[in-house]
Amino acid sequence: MAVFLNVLSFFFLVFGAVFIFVGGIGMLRMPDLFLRMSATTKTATLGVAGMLLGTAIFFGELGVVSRAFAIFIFILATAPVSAHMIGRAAYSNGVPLYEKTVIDELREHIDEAKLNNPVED
Amino acid sequence: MIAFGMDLFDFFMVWVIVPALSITVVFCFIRLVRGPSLPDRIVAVDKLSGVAVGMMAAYAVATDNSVFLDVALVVALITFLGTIGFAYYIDRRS
Amino acid sequence: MSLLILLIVIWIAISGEISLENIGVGLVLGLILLWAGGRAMQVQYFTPPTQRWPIRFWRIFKFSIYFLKELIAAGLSVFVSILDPSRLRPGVVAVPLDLTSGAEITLLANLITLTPGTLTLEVAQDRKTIFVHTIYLDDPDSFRANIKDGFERRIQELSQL
Repeated sequence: MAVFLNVLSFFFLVFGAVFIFVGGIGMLRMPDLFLRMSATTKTATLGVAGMLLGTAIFFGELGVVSRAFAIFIFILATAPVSAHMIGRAAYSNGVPLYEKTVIDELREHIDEAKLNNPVED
Repeated sequence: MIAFGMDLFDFFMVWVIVPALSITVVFCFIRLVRGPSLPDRIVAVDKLSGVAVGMMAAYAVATDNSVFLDVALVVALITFLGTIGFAYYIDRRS
Repeated sequence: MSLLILLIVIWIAISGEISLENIGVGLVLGLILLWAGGRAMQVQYFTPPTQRWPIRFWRIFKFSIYFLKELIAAGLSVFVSILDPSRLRPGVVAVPLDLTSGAEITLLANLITLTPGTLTLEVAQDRKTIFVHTIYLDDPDSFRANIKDGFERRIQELSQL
C-alpha cells in the first residue's frame, strides 16, 4: 500500500513537471503574446496542481494536504485574474497579434465605439 | 526498487523532475531577456513563480520536509500581487 | 457569519493543524478582516439561496467535477498544439452574454481563462458581450455555441440555487 501511494505520488509529480516543461517550450515557440499566455499560464496551473497533488499524497498528513489544497485553490483563484489583467493591458497597449489570426472581433468593437463617440479616451 | 544504480524514486527526481523544472527556468529567462514587449516579460516572471512553486513542492518531497510548502504558499501569494501591479502599471502608462 | 466560519477554516487550512489555539487565532483574524473589509462585505453579490443546502452542495460538486474534466481535456489539447504549432488558428471571438450579475460574469470569465486554450480579453462596457481569445478556432459560431452551452448554462443553473 505504501509503495503504491509512493508510485502514485511520483506519477503526479512527474506529470506536473512535464506539464510545466511543455509550458516552457510553448513560451519559447509560440508566435505572439496571447498564444504564449494561453500556453504558459494554464499549463503552469495544471502542472503545479499535479505537483501539489503528488506532494499531498507523498506526505499524507492532514496538515500538508490542507496546505497543498490551500495553495491549489489560491492559484486557481488568482491565475485567471492576472492573465486577464495582463491580456487586457497588452491588448489596449497595441501588442500585435499573430499574422495567422483568423478574426478579431474585439478590434471591430473598439473601432465602432471610437466611431460613435470619438472624444473618448 | 533499484534501477540505474539508485533508488527508482531518486532516479525520477534526479533525471526527470528537477531537470524539467530547471530547463523551464532557463526558457523563462530567455523569454525574459528577449521578450519583444513588456507584457511578455511579465508573463515570463509569472511563469517563473509557477516553476518556483513546483520546485518547492519537489524539494519538500525530496528532503521529506513539509516546511517548504509554507514558502510555496507565500511565493504564490506575493507574485499574484506583483503581477497585478505590473498589469495595472501597463494599463495606466498608455 | 458564514463568512467568518469560512475565514477560520481557511486559517486552519494554511496553518496546518486543528487545535484550540488555531481556532482562536483564526477567529480573531477573521474578525479583524471582517472589520477591515467593512462595507465591501455587505454588498449582495449573489441572489439569496432558495434550495436546501444538500441540493446546493450537490450542484456545486457536480459543477466542480465537470470543470475538472474540462480542465484536463483542454490541457491535453494545448499540450498537443504546443508540440505542433503549425495547427494554430488563433482568433478573438465576441460571445454575447445572457448572464447579468457581476458575480456570474466574473465566474464565467475566470472559468474561460482557466480552461487552457481560451483567454478572456475584455468585457464590454454594457456587460452584454465578452471577448474571448482562443488558440484553435474552427468556426466562430460553433465556438460561441460551445461556451454558451457548456459554461454559461451551467453557471445559470448554479446561480438558481
